[in-house]
Amino acid sequence: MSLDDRFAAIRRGLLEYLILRIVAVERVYAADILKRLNATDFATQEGTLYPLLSKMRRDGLLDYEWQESDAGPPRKYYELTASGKSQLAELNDYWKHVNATIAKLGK
Amino acid sequence: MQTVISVNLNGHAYQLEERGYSTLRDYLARAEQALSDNPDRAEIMADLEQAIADKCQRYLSPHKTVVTSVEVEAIVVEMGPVEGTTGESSRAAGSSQEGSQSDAKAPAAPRRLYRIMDGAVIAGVCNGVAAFFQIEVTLVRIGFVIMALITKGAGILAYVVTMIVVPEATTAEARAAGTGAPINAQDVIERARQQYAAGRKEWHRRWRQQRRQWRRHNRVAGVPIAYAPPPWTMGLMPLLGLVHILLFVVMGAFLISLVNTGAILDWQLPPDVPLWAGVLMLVVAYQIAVSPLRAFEKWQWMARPGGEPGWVAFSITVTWLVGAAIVVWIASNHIPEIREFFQRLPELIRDFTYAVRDAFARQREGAPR
Repeated sequence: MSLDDRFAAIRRGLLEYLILRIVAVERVYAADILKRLNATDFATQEGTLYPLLSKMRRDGLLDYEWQESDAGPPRKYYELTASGKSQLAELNDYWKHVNATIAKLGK
Repeated sequence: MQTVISVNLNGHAYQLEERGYSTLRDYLARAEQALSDNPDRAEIMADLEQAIADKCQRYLSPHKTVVTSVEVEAIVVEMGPVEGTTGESSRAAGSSQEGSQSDAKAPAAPRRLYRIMDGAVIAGVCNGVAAFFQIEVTLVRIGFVIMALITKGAGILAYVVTMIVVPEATTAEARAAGTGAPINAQDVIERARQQYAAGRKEWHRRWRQQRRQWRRHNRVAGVPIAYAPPPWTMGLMPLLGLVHILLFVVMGAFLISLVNTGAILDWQLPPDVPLWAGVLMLVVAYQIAVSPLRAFEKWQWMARPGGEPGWVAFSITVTWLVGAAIVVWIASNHIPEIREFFQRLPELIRDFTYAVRDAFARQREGAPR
């Protein structure tokens, strides 16, 4: 089993957290998020991303706004809601905590 | 040489080679099935179609107007399989398991609200609602008419909104999901015949009832009443009319803000209150707020000899309806918030219908005990 396969589930689990981080920087549309993720180990696809974005919106973490674009139809620009921001802060803390724990355990 | 098939992807036409078309059709069908219990299914499907359209665009140029089968194949691979339910377990599972899971779910087709045109009178809304709750369609129609009369025409607006937001059952699968029963041709013809006859009767009855209502309006009004309004209050009428319209506009703005952001001004809807309940409360609050105005207007008309003529009541209703329709149409084309509002309406109505259905189901379960 390659490293890639072994961490597949962890990468998937972290996707929501990473999307929160990306959207927190600036208003982005789905293709932007995809482009940013695909430049990393966390590459994903529309088939995964779109249902996840819609779930996050239903959970009240994200919201979107339609915006005209000069290259084609209007796009949905996503941004964090208040609860998305607080969730992100929590996750950032938790991630630091996890890293610290790993660093403390063994060598 | 290959046959080319035109497809409509989220409002744009693309030409695909035949084999590519079936690849894409299968992909979208699988996606639709994977999302079958996702409340945002329609929206996600539209987003996926748009993403596919964007990718098709990449392969096209003024000298190349057809997307080849190989290119469609590449697009589908690039898109990746659409993840099913929002359940955590299935998301953690591999994509191969995903497929078998959604296949297993397929036989129990979920019931969904559709407009059913077979035997429809106007746009199949009542027909669809009746099929959804499995009650007699005539009862639903009568309910709608009564609601329209009580609300002085606002019910008609509700019908129009429902007509726009609820999709029509165009495929056999959709019809099965809408009626909860597989459909064969004989059934359809038989049902259409019955409902056409019932529908015609219904129209006649509705028209007679409406005329009777206008006539009654004429007769009841004009009866001398003990507390006639002082004549000078007549001057207040235009002012009150303005207040009435202002309240209506404020209510509309609140409604849009509530649906789009879940908040009115700085007041946030509590997280445990569903959005549809918030909307319902807002509408009720509006009705309460304008009821003194309405009563005052009635009072003025009652005191005048002859009362408020039926044609005035009728033309006020028509003016409101036409005005509202024009404003909604213009606004939804030019103001993004309003467009967003309409995009969210289907979800809202769906949540509401599910809540009503669940309440019914609970009642039925509780009954035998």
